[in-house]
Amino acid sequence: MLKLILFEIKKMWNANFFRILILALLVFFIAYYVFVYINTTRAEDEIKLLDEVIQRTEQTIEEDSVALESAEDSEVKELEESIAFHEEWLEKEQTKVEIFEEENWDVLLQMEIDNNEPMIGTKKFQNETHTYTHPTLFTYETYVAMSKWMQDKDVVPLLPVNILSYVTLYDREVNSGSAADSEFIMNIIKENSNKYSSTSIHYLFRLFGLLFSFIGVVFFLFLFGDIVTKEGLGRNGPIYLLQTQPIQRYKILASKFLTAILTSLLILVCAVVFSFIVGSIFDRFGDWDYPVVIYGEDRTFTLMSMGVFLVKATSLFMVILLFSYTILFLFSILTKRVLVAIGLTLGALFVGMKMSEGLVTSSIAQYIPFQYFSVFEVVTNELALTLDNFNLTYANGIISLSIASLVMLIVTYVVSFVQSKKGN
Amino acid sequence: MIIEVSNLKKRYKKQMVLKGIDIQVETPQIIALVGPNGSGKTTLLNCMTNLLSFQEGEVRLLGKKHTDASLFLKVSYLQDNRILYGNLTGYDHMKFVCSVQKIPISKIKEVAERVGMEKYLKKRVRNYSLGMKQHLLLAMVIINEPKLLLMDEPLNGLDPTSAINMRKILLELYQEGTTIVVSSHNLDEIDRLTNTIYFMKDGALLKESLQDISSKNYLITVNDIEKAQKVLKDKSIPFSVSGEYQVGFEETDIDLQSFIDCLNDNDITITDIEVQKVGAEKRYRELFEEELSS
Repeated sequence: MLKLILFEIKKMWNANFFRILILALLVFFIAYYVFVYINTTRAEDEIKLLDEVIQRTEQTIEEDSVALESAEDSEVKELEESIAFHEEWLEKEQTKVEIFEEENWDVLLQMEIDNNEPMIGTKKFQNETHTYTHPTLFTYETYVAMSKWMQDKDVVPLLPVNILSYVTLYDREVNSGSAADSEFIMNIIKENSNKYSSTSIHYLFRLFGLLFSFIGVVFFLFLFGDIVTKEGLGRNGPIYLLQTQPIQRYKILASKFLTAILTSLLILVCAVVFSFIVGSIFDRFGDWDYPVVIYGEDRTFTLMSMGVFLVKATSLFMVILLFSYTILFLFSILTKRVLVAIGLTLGALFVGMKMSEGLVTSSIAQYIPFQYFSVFEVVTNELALTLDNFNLTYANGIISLSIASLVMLIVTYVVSFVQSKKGN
Repeated sequence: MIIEVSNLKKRYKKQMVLKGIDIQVETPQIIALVGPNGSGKTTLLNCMTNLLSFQEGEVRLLGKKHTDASLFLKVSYLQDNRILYGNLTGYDHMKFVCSVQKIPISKIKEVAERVGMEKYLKKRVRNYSLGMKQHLLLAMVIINEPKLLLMDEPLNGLDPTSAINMRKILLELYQEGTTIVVSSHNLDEIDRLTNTIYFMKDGALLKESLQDISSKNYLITVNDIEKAQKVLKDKSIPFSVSGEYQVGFEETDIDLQSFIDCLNDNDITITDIEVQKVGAEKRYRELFEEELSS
């Protein structure tokens, strides 16, 4: 079997179409890293911003001091309070500058904990436990928990660090005069919360976020779309060369399937290696333990290491590919035409996903493999929360996709067997 | 038993393409499979090698059922060049065959030299000419030193030198004990290879024409063609004229010695005698007269 797989890999690698797609993927990896690198907020960016704020604050203090000299009695108190407030503010900002200069993340995180932890009690006291106004109780709780997690594990936070650049699924509005303002501000907060980092692990997180989607599945289907049909099934093609060697027939199809799976895994491993190399060269490796929020029922949550999260996401995506390849193989054997097979596979996946949308609240939702194509949302339970069905879990996704793949493989084998018995 | 095909019947939809073929081969030999296009030659070979299924009958090669993949360790099938991968080199193809047949890679060079393809072994097949592809196909089927070699149109696209070389290799394999079944349209080459010819017509094997159907045809070069013609006419000996100095006759009409004596007795000098086998073509003409006339 190994010899067949190696031969399949050789055939694939020698095909120009495959090479072009791999090259395009590499170009995309590089371009995306450049994009992430440019958009990464660094300590020096924060210092620059703080310097501007400090300058403005100092100016305000100076103006207030000048005004104080010629102020009337009624204005004195107000101006003194303003100066005191700005001086206190200035001190904080200067402390922050020192923190960023020294990269003393522990202190920064402690400041965030000190600033936000009291809000948890306040929110509970005010009975604001189930509101949707940013920052919600859930947002404070997860923010503080993440900060503590990062402190405990010596994790470098993603910049900027403040509650206004962090949202959760429960944050749907802000306190503002009008709905339009609320939406506008919410969009700014969401934009700020979309933090970039050019470290290896965070780049990989973003890269896999893009790749582990329907578009990623489409790419891989095109990459391996002709693995069966190029053999010229049902006519005098290279399949006859394989079939006149001392190889059992089922191994020919099985080796192709394994080649597609193993090569897909290899490509993902290459993506990991690429991330590690470019991240380490241009930034640093990053923190395996960076926290990812996993949503629970009734506004509960747990935190997961980003490394573990990526492993789980990769495994789910691999099972999705496995399932997609079984459909591709079945259509390849039935139609014997590459574009038709790819088209029908994409059509089947699309229709399956659309149809499953209508069944999200049904008791069988977790058994439908098409429910799990949003990999990150499944692993974080965001999908379960959004669709209000906490049966749509990572574990259920792995199980239902695996079982569906097995069923499809059996169907494909039976179809292939019947076709060979019919004598093409 | 090397080949055992019993009552092999195959039909595509309602059309019967193989009508109960029986072949039994016990000792190594070279067998030619001859017939017009569509007569079922390739279908028969494909059925024998389990590339196509069939509705009735049984096939055993070297004592094993035709569905047993392990028989390809000692049975090789040279097929149409469409089985080759254009993106791979000849070497890649042979390396693959070696790997699945458990043959040392070192044998590739030896076989490539024997076939005469060592110069382009590492070129991609998409850049091969028709003849080069045939060389590669031949190399791939002989590298495992088969006991049974099935060949479908092996001479397609071969230049005369390559055709002679292929014939030489096939005869060597036969000498080494390999049974060869070769389907071909090249009746001259078949005559040079074997006397055992199986004719196929409309999916049936014409058994009455199986063995020793060949005869010889002679071309005699003489110094005086006009005189030779007159003498042969007077003696009522059937002959044909070829060019300005040659008269031809078939062994079935008169034996060589009598023909020579006849010319010598009339002072006609013979400068050359060329022998040609005409069995395959002659028999083909007889069997497929209808197709030829239409």
